[in-house]
Amino acid sequence: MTSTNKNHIPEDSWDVRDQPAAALALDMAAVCKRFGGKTALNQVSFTVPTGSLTVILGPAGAGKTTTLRMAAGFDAPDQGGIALHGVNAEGVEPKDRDIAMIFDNLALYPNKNGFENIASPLAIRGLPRKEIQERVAALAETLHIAHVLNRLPKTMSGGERQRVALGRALIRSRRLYLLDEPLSSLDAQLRIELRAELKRLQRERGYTFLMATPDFNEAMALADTVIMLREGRVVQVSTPQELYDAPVDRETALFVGSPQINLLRAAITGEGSAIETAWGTLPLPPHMRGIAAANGEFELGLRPEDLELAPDARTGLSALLVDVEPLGLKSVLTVENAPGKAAFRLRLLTGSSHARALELGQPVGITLPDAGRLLAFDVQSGRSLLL
Amino acid sequence: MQRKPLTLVQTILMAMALMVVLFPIFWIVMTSIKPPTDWNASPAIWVPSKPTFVNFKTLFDPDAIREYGVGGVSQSATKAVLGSVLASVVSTCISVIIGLFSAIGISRYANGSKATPLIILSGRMFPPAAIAVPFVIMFSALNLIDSYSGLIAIYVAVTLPFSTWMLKSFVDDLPREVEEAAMLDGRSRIMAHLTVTIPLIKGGLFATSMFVFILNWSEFMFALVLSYSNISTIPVQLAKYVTATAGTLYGVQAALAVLAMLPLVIVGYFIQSHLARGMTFGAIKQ
Amino acid sequence: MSMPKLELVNLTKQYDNADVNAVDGINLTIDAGQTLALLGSSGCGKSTTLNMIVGLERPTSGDIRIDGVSVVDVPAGRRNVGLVFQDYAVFTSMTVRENLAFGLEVRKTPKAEIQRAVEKVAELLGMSDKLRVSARELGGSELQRVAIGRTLVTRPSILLLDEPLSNLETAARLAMRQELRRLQRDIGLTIIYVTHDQVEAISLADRIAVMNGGHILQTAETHEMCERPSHVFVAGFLGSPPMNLLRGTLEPAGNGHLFHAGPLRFALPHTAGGAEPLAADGARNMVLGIRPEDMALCPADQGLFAGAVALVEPRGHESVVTVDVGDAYIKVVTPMRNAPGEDETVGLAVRAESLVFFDGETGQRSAHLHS
Repeated sequence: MTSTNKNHIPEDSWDVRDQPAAALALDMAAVCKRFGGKTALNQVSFTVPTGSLTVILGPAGAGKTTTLRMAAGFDAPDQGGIALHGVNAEGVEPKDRDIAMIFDNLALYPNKNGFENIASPLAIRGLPRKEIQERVAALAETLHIAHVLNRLPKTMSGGERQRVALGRALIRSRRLYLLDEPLSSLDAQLRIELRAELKRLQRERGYTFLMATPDFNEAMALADTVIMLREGRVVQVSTPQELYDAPVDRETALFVGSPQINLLRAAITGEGSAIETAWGTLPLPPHMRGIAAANGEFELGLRPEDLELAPDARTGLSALLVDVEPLGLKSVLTVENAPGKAAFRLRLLTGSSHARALELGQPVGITLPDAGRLLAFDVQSGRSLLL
Repeated sequence: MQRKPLTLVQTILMAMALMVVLFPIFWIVMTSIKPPTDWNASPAIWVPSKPTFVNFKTLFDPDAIREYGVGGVSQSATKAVLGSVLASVVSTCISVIIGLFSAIGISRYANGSKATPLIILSGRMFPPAAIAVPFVIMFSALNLIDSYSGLIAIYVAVTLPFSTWMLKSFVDDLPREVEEAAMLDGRSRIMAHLTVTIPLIKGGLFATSMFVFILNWSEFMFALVLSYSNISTIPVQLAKYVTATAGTLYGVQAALAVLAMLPLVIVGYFIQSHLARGMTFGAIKQ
Repeated sequence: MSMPKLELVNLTKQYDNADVNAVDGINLTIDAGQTLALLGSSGCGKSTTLNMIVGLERPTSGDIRIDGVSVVDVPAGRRNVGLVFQDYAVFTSMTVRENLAFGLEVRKTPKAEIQRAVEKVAELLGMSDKLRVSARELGGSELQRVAIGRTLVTRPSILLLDEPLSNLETAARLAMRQELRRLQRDIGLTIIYVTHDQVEAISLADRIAVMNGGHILQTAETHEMCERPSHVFVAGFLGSPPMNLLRGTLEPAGNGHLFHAGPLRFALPHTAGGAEPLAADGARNMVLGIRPEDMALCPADQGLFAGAVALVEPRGHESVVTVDVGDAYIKVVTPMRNAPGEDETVGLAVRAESLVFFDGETGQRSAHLHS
């Protein structure tokens, strides 16, 4: 793991897709689902183009797993339609949908060893023994689990079990792969390595992945398209960069970004040329002219990454340093208002060696190099005023 | 975890409790191997000096005991033993099989209704004595009195709530995604249940079967009211021995009691870890 | 010099039927009031070490001393060491107050004292208004606070936390990191974190001990370890993304050195990595380390490396670009606006002073280094 030397991924040439691929691997239209009295999915609509890596991003309980289960056919929608590979999937059994799935609780066969778990779909189809062994060995090598093939799941670590589940899903060629938090039990390092591996596999073999995760880092690193899900609703569908640059509302802006985006109450003043906040006054950037701020008030969004520590306390706007959190080569500084002044709190990033020279309680100056990165949200609804 | 040694008081109390529980069993086992002379001896004889199996022989050969100068038994117990085996085994099998598929159905496919387990369990809430008479009336209309079919039917009916609910808890413990994974691997729903669900609850199946078997084997009330001349079970036969001889044939009665106990002891040994579960199932929310 | 709070002296744990020791003669000293993170991947021995400190496992050999006194024979409940489990293990059938009071009730502390201790800890953790709430209704970070509170109430002299942030969502994690640091500042406990996540370790602890294969590879103050890892394993473990490591040979050539790793060859000036010039015959196996942040994209013919872009992973304000340089992949962090497209050919420019060398055999940072 300390080496950047390549691992050669074995080619899988046994399964040939000889049917013409539909443009959309999955098409969900206005899907609604209730469990008991609770609405799990509310008018969920999105598409997954064939050959793409689409990520459903959302906090726990947002409905990610429910969405994947609908696509797989384990639960049926109360309303709305689901089409797989261009064909209406209503009434089609999971085994006939040409899909593979990794469940968030893995669902390995506890009475079968690693090899049998991964080989199971091939064995059920009746492939010859030798072929099964070759394919399982090759995939196990890629996933670094060759050493657990003859062990039972209960003797494996969480990370090993997760990779066996990955293996079982990836061993066969299907037209759609549903991955429910496929990397969650892995150690940080392994997660990053396998993340790249998944992306590479997907690219090289043209697989279609629909992945669910609560981790925005993962979504940003992997996705072609991100579907932001919250409380059963689709909030935003866009590329990762768009999700970060132009979040559709305050909640989304808070969810995507670490440290979280700073939010400041602001008012437009100076006949529309300046923004006034508890922190200080900023010139109104061009992209914010004419926004529909109710009563001229709105919530200003500034990402910590877009703020810079000025060389001295007199440059830029000032604040008092209250906390330094090292994150490796960079540190997060938390600054607040001076006592007696209007309250605010901001976070920004700066180099760790520089941060160590600072003292808590000392005043610092902060600048905003690119005002074009500021975001504005409606105070009540939280919706972005820039869209 | 380390076991703390018991204090003196705890040891004494434990010994007393054990005595109370084990003494009757000890006495019956001893009595079953006592020759008739020892049955009513005064002072009581704890362990016979000349143990004999004549009591057991008498169960199957009513006159065997005459050699000891005691009147014979009214009838042999062979029919009763066979009857118990037949009724218990068959009704256990049917009850468990129906219970298994009900459990899978309720656990996997019934959404929402929280009353379902309660409704199923309510079947168990009736004390047998309360429903015995209505059953007799019903069965005589159906010509099921004094037949093994009738007895088996009622044993199945009465243990079905038990087997369903117990098996349901085992199926609940199994995450449904394991079957769903099998479905995605290519199995149809039914095959997924047959090849995945059932093998994975083997332990639970075994425990439930043993439990239901114990219930059926020891059942007395229904067997009593439903049997006349054609059918008999061990508990009924024991009762007959007692009434026929004003309860004086201690040794033979004890022998039959030992026979009755034997399967239960063996089964109990194998499912001791599951017994606690059986008694508390439903109390712990998963 | 005051007594160190915790000392691990040549601590070893060997399981029967294992050829390799789970923990192999580790030495560690922690002073009172310090925070230390035991960092490593699964199976490195950190959990076993944790269990031995708490008393759930007995060491095969070596010593564990708290305040200078050996505690190896002291049963777990008496060592005055508090442990917060990874999954909290909060009693869901009890209220918050009952959970917090549990440890003291087991020790038969008088009721009034329990009351005071519970209220004090609840206030410390910001849970004073939740004392009557049933644990079943609490969310992840609240449960964790209850778990921490439950151990704090018994006033342990050392607090151990097993993967404290792993079960929390991103937003809650940031909050909990601050919470833990504030807590430590307020009550000055000696805290040991056990984790596999280097970000967690860096943000929580003053010092880090990196473990692998039962050994501690480096123990250092956090910033020291990030800026100057002394072992190649540590260098490849810390950082997002970690340092790029190329295994190859360094040999003297003309006015400087030549480094080659597979098909890659490049000349380095004398000052590269601060290394002293090698003797004329002194070709050495080395591992070259380059931080992703110390490189910049440039036209393909102008950089130290060149290759095709294999992967671009956006991070919002920057991107991690993986470049295929022939026999290896190199990762570079670049501002988002400079992000290339995939399959584009790019060059990577490196500042020679930022190169780091590790000895190819021992893994130690090259002894020649003096920057």
